[in-house]
Amino acid sequence: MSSVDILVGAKSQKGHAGPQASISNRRILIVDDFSDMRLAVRRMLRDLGEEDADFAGNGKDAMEKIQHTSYDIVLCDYNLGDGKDGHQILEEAHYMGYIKPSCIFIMITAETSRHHVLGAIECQPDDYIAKPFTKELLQHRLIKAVKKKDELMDIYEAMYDKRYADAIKIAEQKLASKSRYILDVAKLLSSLYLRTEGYEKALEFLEKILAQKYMPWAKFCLAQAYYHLKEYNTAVAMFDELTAESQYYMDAYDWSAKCNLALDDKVQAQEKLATAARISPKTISRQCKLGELAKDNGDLDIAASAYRSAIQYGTHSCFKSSKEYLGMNDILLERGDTLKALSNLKEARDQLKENSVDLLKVVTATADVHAGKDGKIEANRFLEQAEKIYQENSGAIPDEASLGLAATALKLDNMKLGSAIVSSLAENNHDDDAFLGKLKDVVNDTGHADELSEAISESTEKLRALNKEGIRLAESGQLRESLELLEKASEKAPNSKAFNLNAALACIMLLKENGQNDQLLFKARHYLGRVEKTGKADKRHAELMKMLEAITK
Amino acid sequence: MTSDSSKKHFEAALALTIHDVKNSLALFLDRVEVVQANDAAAGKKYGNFKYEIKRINNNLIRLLALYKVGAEGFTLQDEFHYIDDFLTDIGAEYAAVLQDKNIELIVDCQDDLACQIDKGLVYGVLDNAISNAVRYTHTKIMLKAFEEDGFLVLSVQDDGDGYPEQMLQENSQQGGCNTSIDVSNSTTGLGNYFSQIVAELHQSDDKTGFIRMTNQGDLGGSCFSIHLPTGTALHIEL
Repeated sequence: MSSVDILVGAKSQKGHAGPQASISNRRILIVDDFSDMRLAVRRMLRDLGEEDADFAGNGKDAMEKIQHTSYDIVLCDYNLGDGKDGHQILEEAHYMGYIKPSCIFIMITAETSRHHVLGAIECQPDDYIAKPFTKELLQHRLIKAVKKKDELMDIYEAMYDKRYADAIKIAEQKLASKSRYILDVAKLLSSLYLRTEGYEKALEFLEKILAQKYMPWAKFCLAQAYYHLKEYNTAVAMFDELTAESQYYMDAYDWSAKCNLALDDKVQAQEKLATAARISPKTISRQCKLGELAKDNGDLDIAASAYRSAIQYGTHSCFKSSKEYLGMNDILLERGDTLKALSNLKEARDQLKENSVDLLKVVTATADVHAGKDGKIEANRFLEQAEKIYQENSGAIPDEASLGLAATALKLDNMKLGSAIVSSLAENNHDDDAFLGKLKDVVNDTGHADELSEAISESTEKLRALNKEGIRLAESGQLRESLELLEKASEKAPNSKAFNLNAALACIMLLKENGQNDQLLFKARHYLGRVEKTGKADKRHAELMKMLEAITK
Repeated sequence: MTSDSSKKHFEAALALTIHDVKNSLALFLDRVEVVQANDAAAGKKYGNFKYEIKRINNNLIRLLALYKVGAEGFTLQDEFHYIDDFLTDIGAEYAAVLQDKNIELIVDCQDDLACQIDKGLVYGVLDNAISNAVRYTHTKIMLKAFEEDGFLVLSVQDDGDGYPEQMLQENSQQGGCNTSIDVSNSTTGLGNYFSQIVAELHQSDDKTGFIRMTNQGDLGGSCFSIHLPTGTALHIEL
């Protein structure tokens, strides 16, 4: 019997029953910037029957360890000195998919009260423990966390595998069971409704909860539902109430600013993000957004300092991107400081060399800056570099980045590269009039309308006809022929949403007709994955995902 | 320096100081454990070390909480908690101290009792009460929780000699008005002052929380209790 068992309920026991091996043989990581503290925690774990634990002394080290070892338990100090804090480690590890659903992540804080930043529901630690703590408390909390994890495991697993319909079904069943974790289930369910665009459902569910008890998380989710239902005024008022109640509700500031933007109030939006960035400066996406807004609002100094923070905190983060460097680049150019702009871009190339898309954008921008100050030779050197990256990663470059490269190539009169990209973009976006409009603008602006307009319409017409034919075949019941045609077409235009979605649909219909087939299943996932990867996932994509999930059950 | 920025500096200094002292306490606790493990024969005498570490920490928490409660923009962080979890947590923290001092701990709470409380603040109150009970009890301490007339009652009881008559009289004369509790010359007064503030911050409909000190507990010694309004619905329907 463990000391914890004894303590629960109306039972009594003299003192405690001594160390118990109730959590033994788990892979454990201890993250703390003080080595003495790491040793102290390990000593506690040894008393609890855990012989081994890994150590990390800072955020970078922690991320590497979490990436390479699948830990059962992570005990992470919130305050790690100058680098990443505990919340950022958790957020990044989640984002990168390093944290498996069964992992128990416990945040160690200096305070008992809620003083730490609050973020998304799916990114919360399993528990918080305040320092100093005894081994008996640690044991008690670990056992509690394991119990809760066990109880909710199937929901976490379904969420991790993106089987959202499944996750919702399990959560709804659990809700009826009156389990001890009913509020945790309610939280997960709310976040699932929002994620699967079940806004009306979320609204009904959360109103019902809030009518009985006020809980900040419920209000936060409800306000999100209102935002998605385009009731921006209602939503913004709720988000603002939340930040007034707790100034550490960081995500509420971000959402509030989003509402302000939807209401076309960029000044208010900037103010909210500035407040949030003061309280929690290390979130890169927030600093970038602040930079963008401040720039639009004409506050170049604020914009520059926001981008500078984003660059600084991004250095050791998986969230670093070309965005903050390019934002900084715009400001430096606007101030006429070409030299600084070039050194900023050089730093960006060093920092982002492992991400081809970001690198392509930065190299393209470098070519642009050189072109702008009459450095044609230098400009062409970087254009060549950019072309190399583009070729080496064909199919994996988002259209916006390709469009930027096309513009630079055309500006530098590299017609071979420029027209090749323009044709490919026209093919990939034959189904997207808004993008085709942008493409035509670029062609016009660079003075190459005469040579390229026809190529654009030819490419789009050809592929539109192909897509139509694919649909016709499917509708007349010739599913295999339809799939064959769409597959061929999608090799030509791998980023085309229409081809990818229609090809996936053809696979799904064939699966429905003929039953399980691994190859078709693989193909369907492949095409849907492409849509997601190119950032074009929409309602139809979600519907097809649902259909696929229903088949595979 | 403007008063606003000096306040900000003070807040930052306070937070950093507390963080640092807590690290020291954690390491100190670790040292005591190691020494104790190597000196089994004299093991019991370390109970006082652990007890004093708890008390320093309790004082720190209380100081910070009082500062925050008084600061601009304070809001109660009340959330749903299962009370048995909450009480067994506190029990687990005191387990080593109690064992070293040969004190038996009893936790009496239904496992479905849940209530919306500011855990951080209420924790400070109970910590203070247990800390007193550890000093004055003979053999037992009981943490008892139940619902009564729309209030959640959390009590800390012991089998010691109970509160001195004079203290009970003073307390009843003040009639639960915190402004008259004398904090200037005793730490007991400070603890009660804090407890009362925390109780009164918990409000629901027309009910306000309060504290009680009697010698009418189940164990025959002192009985400290904090009563917090449970609100309209204790159990939520989903």
